Amino acid sequence: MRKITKRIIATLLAAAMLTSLTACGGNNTSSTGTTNSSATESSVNASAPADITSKIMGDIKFPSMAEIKSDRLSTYYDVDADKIEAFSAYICGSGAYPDEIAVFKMKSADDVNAVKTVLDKRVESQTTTFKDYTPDEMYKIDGKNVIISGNYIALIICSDNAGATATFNSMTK
Amino acid sequence: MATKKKKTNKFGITPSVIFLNLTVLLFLFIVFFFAYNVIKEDTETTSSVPPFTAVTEKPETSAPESKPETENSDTPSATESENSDSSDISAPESDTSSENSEDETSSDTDTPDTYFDKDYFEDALFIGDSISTGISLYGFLDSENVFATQGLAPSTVLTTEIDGKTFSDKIASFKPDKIFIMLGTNSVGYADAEYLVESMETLISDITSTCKSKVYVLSIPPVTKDAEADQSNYLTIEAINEYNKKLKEVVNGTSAEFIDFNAVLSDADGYFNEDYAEMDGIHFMGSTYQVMLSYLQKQTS
Repeated sequence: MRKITKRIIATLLAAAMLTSLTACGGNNTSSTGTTNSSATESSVNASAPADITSKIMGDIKFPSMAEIKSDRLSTYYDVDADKIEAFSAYICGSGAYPDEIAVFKMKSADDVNAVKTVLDKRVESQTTTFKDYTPDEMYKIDGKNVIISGNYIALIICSDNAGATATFNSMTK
Repeated sequence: MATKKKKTNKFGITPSVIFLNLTVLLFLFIVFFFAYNVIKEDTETTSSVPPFTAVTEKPETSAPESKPETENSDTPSATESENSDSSDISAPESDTSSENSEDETSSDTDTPDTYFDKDYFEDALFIGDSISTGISLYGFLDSENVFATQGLAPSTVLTTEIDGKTFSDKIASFKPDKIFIMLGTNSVGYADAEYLVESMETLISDITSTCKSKVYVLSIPPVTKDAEADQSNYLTIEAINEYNKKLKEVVNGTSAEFIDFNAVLSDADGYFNEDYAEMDGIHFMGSTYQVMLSYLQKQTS
């Protein structure tokens, strides 16, 4: 009788554990922009681009940001979609600030350099747009806005590029 | 032979099993607590439906309602709009979870209408400054529908190239059915209002002489009290209202139509309703464009 009771308890506990783990695991697939620190901490290695942008935007103050989904990707980044494994991108939606964050995970490290050219051009474009319009915001475009880490490449223009870069690096290793 | 007998209760469960149970229950409680918070945060701060994510905090304003300074007689206070929108603009962010959803067409709610039909604006062209760039940056309309850039002013619109096209090029290639113009914010703080409205008159004349598009001219939006206090932008409610008043007079003398969108965005004191404003108190939040497009559709259909 005692053995049976213990087995029942063990089975229930195992089922409960599995249920709770499943609940956690299912949460980080579609959320773009809100995966909080507890979720990202559990997936530090090789995080999804959406998790990286979410973490950075959670840690650093951004203006209101508009997400660039795949249907609008080519409008802002002329990147071959077939070579992208995943990406996540946001731009300042109001047109008031140069803030922008885009993280690409490429299928191959060889594809990263082509994206770098695209992102460098994007930085140039933002520089042209904002240098006379909001000179006070130009500190965000500091020449260190395009970062590469393995198969990952990011464009980061924000009020704390160093902090965002550190997060990007830590989440892509 | 003293066999060590484990202590058990009447159910035969040892204290270690009870302890294990309690530990696991505590763990489950923590896990579910975090999971609940994650899900709750998900639903509150984002939505996958609208093409924007408001990551920004609202501008920190202390006592925004305290300055009763609306001596303007013409534009603000939401009196011109014929429907309930004007008095229902107190909580714009609360109704932004679904772009273009049909169920948002109700007109008797406490929130402003954010419904608009993207197809209605398929042949529309928006001419403006950085504020108008947000229409396409947020993805509410395609970039084809917008001829706007940072710093554009009434006096520079005819000579400025955007993406390699002048205004005339754009009109000729796009052939818009409707043209919406909202210009002046970049100049109104320091340029003479008369000069600005003359430039707008020239612009309207240029458009109507080259194409048959219906032209709508929008009053420029207000700024928040904090933005007005920021001397660096030269923007004051008084200057904005003066410009809008003269603009209305000029536009009414043309074939174009004046639309007082400023009134929709203003609070009781004539300042930019904080809920609509970006951090700088001048530009728009994402939902503000929905309100704008919804309002324009109603006013022009």
